Amino acid sequence: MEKINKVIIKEEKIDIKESKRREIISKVIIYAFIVFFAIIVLIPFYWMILTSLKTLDQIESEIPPTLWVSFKNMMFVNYLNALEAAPYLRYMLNTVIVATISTVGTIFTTIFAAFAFARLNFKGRDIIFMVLISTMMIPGEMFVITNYITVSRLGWYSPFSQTFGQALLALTLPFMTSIFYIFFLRQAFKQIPDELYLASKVDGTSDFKYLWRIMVPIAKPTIITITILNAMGTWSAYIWPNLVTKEVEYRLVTNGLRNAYLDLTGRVAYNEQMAAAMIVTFPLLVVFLLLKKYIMRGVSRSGIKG
Amino acid sequence: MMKSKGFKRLLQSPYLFIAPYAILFILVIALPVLVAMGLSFTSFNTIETPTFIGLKNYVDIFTGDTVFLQNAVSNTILFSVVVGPIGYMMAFFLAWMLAQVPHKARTIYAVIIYSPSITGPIMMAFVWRIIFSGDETGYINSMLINMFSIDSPIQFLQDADYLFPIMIIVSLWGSMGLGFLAMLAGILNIDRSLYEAAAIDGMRNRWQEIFYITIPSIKPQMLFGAVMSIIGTFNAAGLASALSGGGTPPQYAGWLIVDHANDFGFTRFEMGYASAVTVILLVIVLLFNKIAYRLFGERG
Repeated sequence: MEKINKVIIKEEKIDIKESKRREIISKVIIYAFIVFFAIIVLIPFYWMILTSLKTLDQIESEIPPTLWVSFKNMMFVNYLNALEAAPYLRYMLNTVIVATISTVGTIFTTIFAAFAFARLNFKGRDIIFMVLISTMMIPGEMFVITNYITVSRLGWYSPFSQTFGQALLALTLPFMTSIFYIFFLRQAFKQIPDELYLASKVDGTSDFKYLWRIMVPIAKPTIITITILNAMGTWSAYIWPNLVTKEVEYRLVTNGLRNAYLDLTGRVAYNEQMAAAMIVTFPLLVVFLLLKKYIMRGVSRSGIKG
Repeated sequence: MMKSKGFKRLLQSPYLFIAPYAILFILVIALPVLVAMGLSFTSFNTIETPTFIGLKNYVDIFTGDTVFLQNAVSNTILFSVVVGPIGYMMAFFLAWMLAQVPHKARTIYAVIIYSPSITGPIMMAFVWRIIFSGDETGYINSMLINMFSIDSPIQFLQDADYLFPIMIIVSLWGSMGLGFLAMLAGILNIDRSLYEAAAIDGMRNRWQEIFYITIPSIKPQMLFGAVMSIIGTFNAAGLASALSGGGTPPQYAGWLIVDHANDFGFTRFEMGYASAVTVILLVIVLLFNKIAYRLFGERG
C-alpha cells in the first residue's frame, strides 16, 4: 500500500517537473516571438530617426549605409531646415484647431445618439441602428466624391478663393459624425444596468439629466477614448485636407510631408524629409504614450454582438 | 401651461437625442451615398449639370476598362484576402501572447506594436521608400549585395513584381490597430477561474485553451476586429502610388479599386464614372462582411 502511494507521489513529482519545464519553454517561445515582432515594428522608426540625422552626402554615397551616427555627427540642423521648408508650426496650429472642432462636434452628436440607441425606446430604433451599422461598410471614397461637391456648392471651397473660416468648415464638416464611435459608446452605455435608469425614472429625473449625471460619468473612459482617437485621426488625415484647401497655409501637418524636399542642386533631401516625418509623428507617439491607459480602458469595453 | 408641457414632452422625445447626429449623418453620409449611386448613372464633370446616361458607366467598366478589370479588382481582392486574414490572425496571436507576459512588459510591447497604426501608412511610406530604395544606398539592397552577393540592386519600388508584395508587407506591418487592442483587452478580461476549471477537467494543451476558452470568451471583440480589418483593408488607398513615388505605380501594380475611383474622381474629374466604381466596391465590401458575420457573429 505504501509502495503504491510512493509511486503516485513520484509520478506527480515528475508531472510537476514536466509541466514546469513546458511552462518555461512556452514562455521562452512567447518572449522570443514578441521581441522579434517588436524589433521588426521598430526598424522603420529607427531608420527614420537615423536618416533624419545624416548628411545628404552620407545618404547618397555611403555603401553600405551605416547603421549608427555618433552624437557629435548628428545633423540636428536637418530639423531646422525641415521646419523652414513648410510652414509646420502653422500646420500644427491648423491641425489642433480642426481636431478640436471636429472632436467637440463628434462627442456631442455621439453621446446623444448613443444614449438614444442604448436606452430609449422609440419606433424603428433597431431598424435605424441596423441601417447605421451597415453604412460602416461603405467605402470612404463614396462620401468623399459627394462631400467634395457639397462643400464646393456650399461655397466653402473653390479653386479661386477661400477664407480660413471656409477652409475650417470644409475640413471639419465630414468628421462631425462617426458611425463607429456611436457603436462603441452604445456598447459602453448598454453595460450600465437598467435598474439605475428605472430608479431615476421613479424619482422623476428627465432623460437628459440622467444622461449627463449618470451615464456620461460612468462611460467616461469610453468617451475619453473616442476623444483621443478622433483627435489623433485628424493628425493623420491626408486626402480630404488636400482636396478642400486652396491655400497652402490652410493645410494640415501630414500634407506638409508631401512637399518636395529638394536641396540647392536639386537632389531629394531625404534627411530633411525624414526630419519632417519625425516632427509630425513624434507628438502623436507622445500623446499615445501619455494616454494609453485611457485608450485601453475604453477599448476593453468594446465588442460587437452580431 | 399646455405649451410648456408640450415643450417638456419635446425635450423628452427620443428623436431629439438623435436629431443632431441624424442631420449630420444625412448630410455627410446618407445623402452622399444616394447621390453617388445616382451619379453613377450620369456623366458629370463637377462643373456642368450631370447628364443621365443610364448604365453606360457600368457597361464601360465591365467591357472596356482593362485597368479596372485586370488590375484593380484582382489587386483589391488579393490584397484584402491576404492582408485581412493574416493581419487579423497576427493581431489575435500577438494579443494572446501579450496577455501571457507580466504587466509592465506588456504595456511596453503593446505600445510598440500599436505604434504603426498611429502614424498611418501614408506617413510611413516615405520611410519605406528609403529602406527599399533602388540603388546600393538602399538599406535592403546593400544588405542583399553584401550578404547574398547579388550583382545589381533590385528596383523594388519600380518593378511591378516587387511593388505589390512590398505593399502587402507594409500593410501587415501596420495592421495591429484598434482590433488588436480590443482583442488584447478582451483576453485580459477573461475570468481566470475558467482556465483553472478547464485544467481540473483535464485540459492540458495550450491550443485547447485557445480554441475552447479564449476565442469563445472574446467573440464580440473578435467580430469587432474582423469588421475593423475588413474596413481597413478595403479603404487602404494610395499606398502603391506613395511607395512608387507618386502618380500611377508601374504597370498599375498594387492599384486598388479605391485608387481607381480617386483617379477618375479627382484627377480626371469624371465623377459619374468614379461613383460607379465606388458602387461596385461597395457591393464587394458588403459580400465580404456577410462572410465575416457568418464566421463570428452570434445569433440572437
